[in-house]
Amino acid sequence: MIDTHAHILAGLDDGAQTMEETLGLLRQAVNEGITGIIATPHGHHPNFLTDVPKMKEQLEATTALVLAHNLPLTIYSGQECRLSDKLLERLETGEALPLAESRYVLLELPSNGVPAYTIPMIQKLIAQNYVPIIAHAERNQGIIAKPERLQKLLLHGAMAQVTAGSVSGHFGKAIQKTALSLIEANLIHVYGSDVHSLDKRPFLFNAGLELLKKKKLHDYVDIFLENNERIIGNENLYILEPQDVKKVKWWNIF
Amino acid sequence: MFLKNRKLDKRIKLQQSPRKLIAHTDPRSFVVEQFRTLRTNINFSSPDSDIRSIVITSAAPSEGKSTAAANLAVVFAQEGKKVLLIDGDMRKPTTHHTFDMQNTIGLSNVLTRQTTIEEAVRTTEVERLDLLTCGPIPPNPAELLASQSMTSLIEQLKSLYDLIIIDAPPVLSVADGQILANKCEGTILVVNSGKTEKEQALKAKEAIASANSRIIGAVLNNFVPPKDSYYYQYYGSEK
Repeated sequence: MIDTHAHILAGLDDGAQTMEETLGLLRQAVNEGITGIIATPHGHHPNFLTDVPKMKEQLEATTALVLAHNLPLTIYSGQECRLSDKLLERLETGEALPLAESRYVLLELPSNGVPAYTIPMIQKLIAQNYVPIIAHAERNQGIIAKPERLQKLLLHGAMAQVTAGSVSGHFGKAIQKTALSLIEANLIHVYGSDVHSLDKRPFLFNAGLELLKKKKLHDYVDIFLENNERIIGNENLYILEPQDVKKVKWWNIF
Repeated sequence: MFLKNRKLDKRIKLQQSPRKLIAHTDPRSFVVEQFRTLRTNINFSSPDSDIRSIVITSAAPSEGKSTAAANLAVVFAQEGKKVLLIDGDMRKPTTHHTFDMQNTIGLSNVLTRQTTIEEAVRTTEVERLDLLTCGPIPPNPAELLASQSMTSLIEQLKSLYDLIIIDAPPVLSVADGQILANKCEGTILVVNSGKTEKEQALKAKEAIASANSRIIGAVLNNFVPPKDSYYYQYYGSEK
């Protein structure tokens, strides 16, 4: 199993702070049965500095840590790229990184909505053979209010990622409901843990998958895990045709 | 561990899309027989002039255009014709889902001269049937489809294929349907039984007529035949 979204590199953002914490997270990953992690620190996020050389240093240090402790894990490079009009230039110059050196780019939208220039940006990326993956789509206020907004982004060729914690209920009932309705409408293609820390934002990788199984969504578990592997291999993702999202009744939101 | 990761070989089973290539997966079913009737009617509709390009459209969205277009393309290919299906719906493209393909390059790239026809057209699992998907959605679909390069593209494709079928957007919602109908020799109007308003269907017909296109016929979709209808029986099949 591959985790496609993890803030495991120490001291770069609000993820792991020290190497000890990173080691703890790596051990937790092994316990969850994860075999590969794409390390995705925040890139060009307004709250965190982006330092690509330092990130590469940390990536090497973490890989060394894995080897030193003989953990059955592979660490891949990556970044959670904040939506920005300079994203394409940054990808070309290497200031922003795609997932595991593939054509897939993890794209983070501001959590309060979907800016108007998202679609032109997606079109630009696709024209240059990059495929944007919308990170934690189910936690975006704009998409929660109107799932059609995500549908529109997908129509232009973007993919979407769900966070394990959202599915398992870590972010509350409302987000869990949104996550499940997006999954059932075939609007989600990739699965990631978005792990930040051992206690407050743990992996919950299996907890999410178990919940999907409990809801009899076995096919989606297979599709997500398969697509996660395909990102590593830079292959085409397996996509089901998007359907209309079932309306979440207002009395179910609270 | 629960990791019994079943491989995704059973793709067709997994694809729960409402749009099915029934003409390919179940060619003996009686629904497909209707598509064959449609094919025959199209062939006989113009004995003098050969119809080489057909637009499939409807009055309102989701009446079954793409299903009709894809299955019609399949039955024409089964007849021995070399067929190209073009996704002319640049608002809500679907053919790449029907045929389980990627929509990274397609018609929009060809029209903006970013790629050649040979690169954009892909073969499908159906013999003699090729597919040109929509490609990245352009900001100006109507202008692209109305352009001179679209006209010359259709002419060029006619020299390569026996029949071109274009899946168009609904004619009453956007101008694209009328534009495409104008560039092709025949138009088929899909009417969803019990859903399409009569006035809307009439308006759609007028819109197509005003675009100087010929309606070769209409398809009544989602019609449930009465139980005692002879259509309902399998004639000469073992089922």
